[in-house]
This record gives sequence, structure tokens and C-alpha cells, in this order.
Amino acid sequence: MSQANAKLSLKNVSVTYRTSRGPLDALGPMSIDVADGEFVAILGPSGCGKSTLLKIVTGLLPPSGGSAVLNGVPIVKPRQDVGIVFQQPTLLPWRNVFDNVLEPIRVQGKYSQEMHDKAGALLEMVGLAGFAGHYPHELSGGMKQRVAIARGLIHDPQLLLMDEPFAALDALTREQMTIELQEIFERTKKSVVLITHSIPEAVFMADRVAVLSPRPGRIIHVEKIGLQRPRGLDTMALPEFTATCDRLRRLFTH
Amino acid sequence: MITKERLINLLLPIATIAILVLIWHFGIKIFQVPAYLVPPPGAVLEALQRGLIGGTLWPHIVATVTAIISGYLVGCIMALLLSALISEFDVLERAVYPVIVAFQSIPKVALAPILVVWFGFDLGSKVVMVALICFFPCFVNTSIGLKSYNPELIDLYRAMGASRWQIFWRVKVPSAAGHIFAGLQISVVLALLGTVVAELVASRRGLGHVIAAAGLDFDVAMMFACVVILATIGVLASQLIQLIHRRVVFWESRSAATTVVAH
Ligand SMILES: Nc1ncnc2c1ncn2[C@@H]1O[C@H](COP(=O)(O)OP(=O)(O)OP(=O)(O)O)[C@@H](O)[C@H]1O
Ligand SMILES: [Mg+2]
Repeated sequence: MSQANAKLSLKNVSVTYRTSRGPLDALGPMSIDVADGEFVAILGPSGCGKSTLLKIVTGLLPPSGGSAVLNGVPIVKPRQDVGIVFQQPTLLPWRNVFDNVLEPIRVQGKYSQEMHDKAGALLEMVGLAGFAGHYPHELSGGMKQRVAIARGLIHDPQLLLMDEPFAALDALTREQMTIELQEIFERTKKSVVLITHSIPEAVFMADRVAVLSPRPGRIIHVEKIGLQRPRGLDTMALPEFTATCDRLRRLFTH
Repeated sequence: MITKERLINLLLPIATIAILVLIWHFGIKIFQVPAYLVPPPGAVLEALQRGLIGGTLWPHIVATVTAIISGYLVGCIMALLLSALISEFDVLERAVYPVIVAFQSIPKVALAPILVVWFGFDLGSKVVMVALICFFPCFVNTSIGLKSYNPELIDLYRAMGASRWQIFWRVKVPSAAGHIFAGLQISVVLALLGTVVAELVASRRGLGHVIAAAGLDFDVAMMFACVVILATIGVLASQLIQLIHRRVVFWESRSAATTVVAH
């Protein structure tokens, strides 16, 4: 893939945190490109710098070295064309589901009837049509995370970043959400960067899986996932799926 | 169901008070406590009647309540503004916070005579006294509250491109609401205390003044009557704040206790 048509392009990006015990190399240097409409999963051991990587792409943290470019423009500060979903749902407890989804629009001063309708449509897409008036404390963990996903999509971002969005969920809900997110992705065709600890989750959803080394995280392997789309429950039963998961798992055990 | 529960919750403390009044009534009979030390409940009731229906107490009640409300508003608004400023400007926090905490160790009641000299016998000195006493609990709780936001929410808002002003109003203030009300709750009780102290020291109006005057006349029943009125005002005021608290901060369950820093 050439850099020209890359949506997101990271080149030799590295981060060194200054801490009270001296400098701490948290990430890289590492390079990766994400194409338009591509789903990239980033897999890595705990503490290897995955969340740090995400902070760079959102513009919350400047890289200590290298460059991060989105749509041909260097990322120097937060940008409005990126959507984020965190590990925790991070909703506003004092706003109902509908207003939580609309919050980015309100903050950016772009509220309109069209956006209002879109929020309704997104809630329907994530299966929460009947819960628009509910408050976060009245929802289950999985429902909250769905609200967060709808919120991440409301301003029609070019790139959706997700930092272990399902980590706080139980195994059953997690699997269900994975399948749902997969469907949402196939419908909306966004570029997605998903950070995860789960190998099957990465293989199931992504077009490519990048595996990071322990801290400071560098890319030690990129796996292209050839599984046919649309993917569903059957996909997980394919021998190709299991074989890919196995291959990736070996990277961690050795 | 809920209303029945509420009714019982309302009736139980009333029953407790009724029992205490009974103990009071029979206690002074049994132990033959003279009425000039502890008046019987009947005498207090009679004094209340004299003052409330006769009307002599109303101007004093108005004066006291006015002082409470104005002092409370002045003290709490200053506290809210200052803690907001401090939470946003780090330099200010380091410069001002320790000084305010140090000032807090001054017993403000001891300032009452000075305040009377400076601000006169009337509303002025009372408002200043009350404002001084109300300030600190509201200030400390708000300051803690404005720091108790979820840092991920701030990251999220910054990533959305929110301005500092938007983050303050949309995230920090609502996150602090529970703490702010905890401060307002403590301050409202202290406002009562401050008013009465100022009125006891020197004043021409107010329930504290009536208590002082009745003391000179050995009218113990009237002193008790004033205490009963003050207690009623205190209970009503703090119930009102609690009600507003529950309405405004509806998303925090009552079991999730908010930090309360008194003094
Ligand atoms: N603000 C910071 N200041 C100093 N060190 C930090 C900071 N944030 C993260 N680190 C350190 O950088 C390293 C990478 O952190 P990061 O949160 O990116 O890891 P991660 O891969 O997301 O881990 P996990 O999978 O557990 O979420 C860790 O060793 C962490 O201690
Ligand atoms: Mg992380």
C-alpha cells in the first residue's frame, strides 16, 4: 500500500514519557498505514503502549519522535473527524442516552434536525431504539458501550478509534458485541483502528492485525486476514479462522 | 408504596420528638425542677403563642431569616466562584488554597464583636459573620468536587475539540454537583449558627436578640420558644437544600455518599 491513499499514516512514531524515575520508553519507533475503509486491529501485551498509540492518533499526545498524518495533514491537535470509543463507556451520567449520543455534535456547535434524526438512526443500529430517554445508570454495561459506539459515529468521523471497547464486558456480551460491531463496520465502511487483547476478536473483525512487542511496543508482525466478508458466527467455525488465531497466539508464547 | 414508606419516615422522627416532650413534661414534675430553670412544655407553647399569634416575634423572625439567607448567599457564591477560579488556574490554587485553609483555624465566632464595630448592629455585621462561616465548607467541598471528574471524560472532550470553557461547564461542574450540595448542606446549618451568634453579641433585632433580652428578664419560656423557632428554621432550610440536591443531582444514588468536609 502506498502512502498516498493511506487514511492514517504513522512513520517511526515513538513516545517517551518523562516520569519522576526518569524517561520511560512507552512506544515504538513503529510505522503503520491504515487505508480508507480498512479495519486494523492492534494486538499487544498489557503496558506495551497501545493506549499511548491511540492518544497520538487522537492528537491528545504529541509523539516524541516520528510523524503521524491523517488525511495528508499532520496530527498536531485533536481533530473533529475522529471518533473514539474507550475501554470504559465514559458516558455523561447526567444526560440521557439520546443526549449522550448527540454530545459531540453539541460541543462542536453543529446541532441540526438532521443530526437529531441521525442520533435516532444510530441508536436503532446499535439496538437501543427504545432506550433514548434512559439514563446511563439505568443501562447494563453492554448497553452503555453501545451508546458509546453510537456516540463515536455521530459526527461521521473518517476514522474510528477503539481502545479495548469490550474489555469491561462479560464473555457472552463481548462475543455478541463483536458480531454486532462487525456488522456495523460492514455497513458504515469506516476506517477503524481497534485495540484489543483478544486474538479471536482481532482476527474476526480486522482486515489486518498488527502485533506489538512488549514495551516499548514495536510492530513484530502484521497478519493479513483473508476471511471473506460479510463475517458472522460461521466465520468463527472456519478452519482458516482457527489456524490464524493459532499462528498469532504462537507469537506471544515464544 | 413509596409514599407509604415516606409517610412512615416522616412520622417516626415526629414520634421521637413527642416522646422527648413527654419525658420533658413529666421529668420536671417528678424531679420538681423550678420553672425559672426549665419551663414546662406548656409554658413554652404559651410563649410561642404569645409571640407568633400576638405578632411580637415576627419582625425578629424576619430579621433572622433575612440575615441567614443573605449571609448564606454571599458566602456560598463567593466560595463557588473562588473554588471555580482555583480549580482552573493552578498558580492561583497554590497561592490561595493554603492561606484559606490557614484562615479556617481562626474561630470566626471570636470575630463577632469586631464585626459589630466595623459593620454596625444591624444586618451588615450579621451578613458578614454568616458569610465568613458559610464560606469554608462550601469552598472545600466544591474544590474537591471540581477535581473529582473522570479523566477519561476530559480526554474524550478534548478529542472532540471541546474548549476549556466547554469542558468546565459540561464535565467538571456536573461532576462536582454532588460535592457542591454537600457543602451547601453544611453551610446552611452554619448560617443559622452565625446569625444567632451575631445577634447574641449585639443586635437590635432577630431571634438571638430576643433570647438575650429574655435572659435579662428571666423569661426562660420565651428563650425556649425562640430556640424552638430556630430549630424549625434549621430543619426546614436543610430539608429544602436536600430536596433540591436530590432533584438536581438525580443521577447519583443516595447510597453513593458524597464527601463531606465540615469544620
Ligand atoms: N501519562 C503517563 N506518564 C508516564 N508513563 C505512562 C503514562 N501513560 C502510560 N505510561 C506508561 O507507558 C506504558 C504504556 O502505557 P499504555 O497505557 O499505552 O499501555 P497499554 O498497552 O494501553 O496497556 P493496557 O493493555 O494495560 O491498557 C506503560 O508502561 C505505562 O506505565
Ligand atoms: Mg490501554
